[in-house]
Amino acid sequence: MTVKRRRHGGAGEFLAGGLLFCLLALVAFFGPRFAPFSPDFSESIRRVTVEGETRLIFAPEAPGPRHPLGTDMWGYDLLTLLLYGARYTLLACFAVAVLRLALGLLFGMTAGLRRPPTRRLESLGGIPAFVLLIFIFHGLTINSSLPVSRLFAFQVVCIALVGLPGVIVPVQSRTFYLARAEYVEAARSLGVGSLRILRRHIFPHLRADCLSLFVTEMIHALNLIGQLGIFYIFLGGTILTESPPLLHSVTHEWAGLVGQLRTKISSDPWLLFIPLSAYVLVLMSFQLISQGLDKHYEKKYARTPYV
Amino acid sequence: MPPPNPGLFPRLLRMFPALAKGLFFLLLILFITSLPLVIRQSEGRLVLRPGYFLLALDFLEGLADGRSLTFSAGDFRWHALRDLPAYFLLSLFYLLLSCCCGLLIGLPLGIARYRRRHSWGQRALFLLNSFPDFFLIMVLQLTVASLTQLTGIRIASIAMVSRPPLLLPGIALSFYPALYLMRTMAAATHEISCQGYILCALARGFSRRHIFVREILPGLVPVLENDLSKLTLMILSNLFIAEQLFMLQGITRIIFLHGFTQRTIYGSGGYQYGLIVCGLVYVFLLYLITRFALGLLVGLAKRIIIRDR
Repeated sequence: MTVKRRRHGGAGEFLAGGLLFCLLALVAFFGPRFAPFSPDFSESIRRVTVEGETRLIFAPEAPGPRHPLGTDMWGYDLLTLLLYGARYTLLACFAVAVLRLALGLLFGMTAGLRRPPTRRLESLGGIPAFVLLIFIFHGLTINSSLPVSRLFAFQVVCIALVGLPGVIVPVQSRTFYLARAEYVEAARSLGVGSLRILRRHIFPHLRADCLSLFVTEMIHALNLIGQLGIFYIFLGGTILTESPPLLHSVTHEWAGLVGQLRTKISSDPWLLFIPLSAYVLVLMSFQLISQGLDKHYEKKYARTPYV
Repeated sequence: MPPPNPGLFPRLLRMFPALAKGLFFLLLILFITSLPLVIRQSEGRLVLRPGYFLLALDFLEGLADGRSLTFSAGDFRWHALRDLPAYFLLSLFYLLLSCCCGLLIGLPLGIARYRRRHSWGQRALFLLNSFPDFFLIMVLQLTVASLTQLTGIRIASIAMVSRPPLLLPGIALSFYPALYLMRTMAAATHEISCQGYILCALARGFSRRHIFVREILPGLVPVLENDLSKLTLMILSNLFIAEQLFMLQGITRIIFLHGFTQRTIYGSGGYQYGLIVCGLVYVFLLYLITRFALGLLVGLAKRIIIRDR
């Protein structure tokens, strides 16, 4: 007799996303060891001899045997930059999501015991979050004298704080709903304190939402970092030289590479295509995990429409 | 007998929360605009210079003689009321285009295809929804640039040169609102159609069409109403990115082109507090107009569908 294994909804997506994320994490950890060049090495002009004839190759160089992903317009090897930048992209997303979730749970649960969330100031006068961040980072990021690690940490904290309402609101709303349940009322009438109610009666119900929220916040963080990159605000700092006018990401994080290479869209489209594909790989890994989780919960709690 | 006229003062009193909110946002703009001067770095340390918040007072003083409303844009002197409205109108055009296309595509598709929201096509579309706006714009630009290089035929303009491009910005700006509405409406329609009163209506013998028009559609209006601020903010956020990447001469691009210090980052000129404040006030106006227009449409739908006056 064959026993059919019951598959949980979304397991495939979750596994594929998880595997992709693990692979990217490995690249982030060990990538610099396998980088073909140093991140400071550049060759804007290269001399090659083909069949006894000497030729000059100018940057940007298309992908080839010496530079598998080509070089940018200043002669830096793109594969090397990607291998060095991966850790900053992943670390930033992870740290922002951890901070948002920790603070969001703390503030959301505490506030949810008393009142439901309000939507009074959610629009911020039509100013998007990344514009607010541009104003905060502008005086710090360009040709910064701050150590890269300190600037990176400051940027991560600011990005986390700007998106905090996005976590507080759902947590507060769910806590408010749960705090009106009969068993919570019963615990309260027995004299149980707020802290214990939150820890023993409300948090266990939020645990399932936490993973989903965490992955969603990683996606939001990545999108926000990408939007900042469009305005040349790079994580870890932007190096600006006046003559010639050049803009570099100090850390070579992937969204920054997209931002700095976007001007080459009409002359060398492949130059933008490579960091953009790397960025999409990260996003896809988060998205697949998120979709897997959503599918799992939907299958678990789904109802059937009557019409 | 007609109700007595409430008079000007009670009316103003009723408008007070909205006025207070507007005033708060204007103060917020003054605060945000000071941040690049307040948060600085020097000799490896983060430096806060709160004295620069007082620039707001200087700006407000300068409004009386018009000093705060003039600024330099390259070699020209601009006045906020004379020169910026043209850029504002271009931004408004793109915003309204985005709203109209988003509503016209997203609403009917979301409602009509709520049962198929787990289909492959729908899932792929929703996956695209999680990708940032600049990704879609870059993919569109890359596709057009590559096709132009391959065939030599220019299908669409990838940036504004003399005339504002329509096709690519139109697609990029309408895509996300349409997809967002599609997703929200599909989820809301599904949720409503699972309710007990729908089963009750079915049991009483009402037709599917009747249930849809009389029970489900009225339930969707409050969902849409609740999401209007979020939708407006999303469209505005897309506009900032689209104007930057398509080089559209709208108000959001002007802020970055002429407002900031570094010559090579966004353009020329020094950090111009006045220009950025005026630009953000225009952005706030864009937000209010778009929000009002969307609210008007939903109000109209409410009157027709729910017959709520």
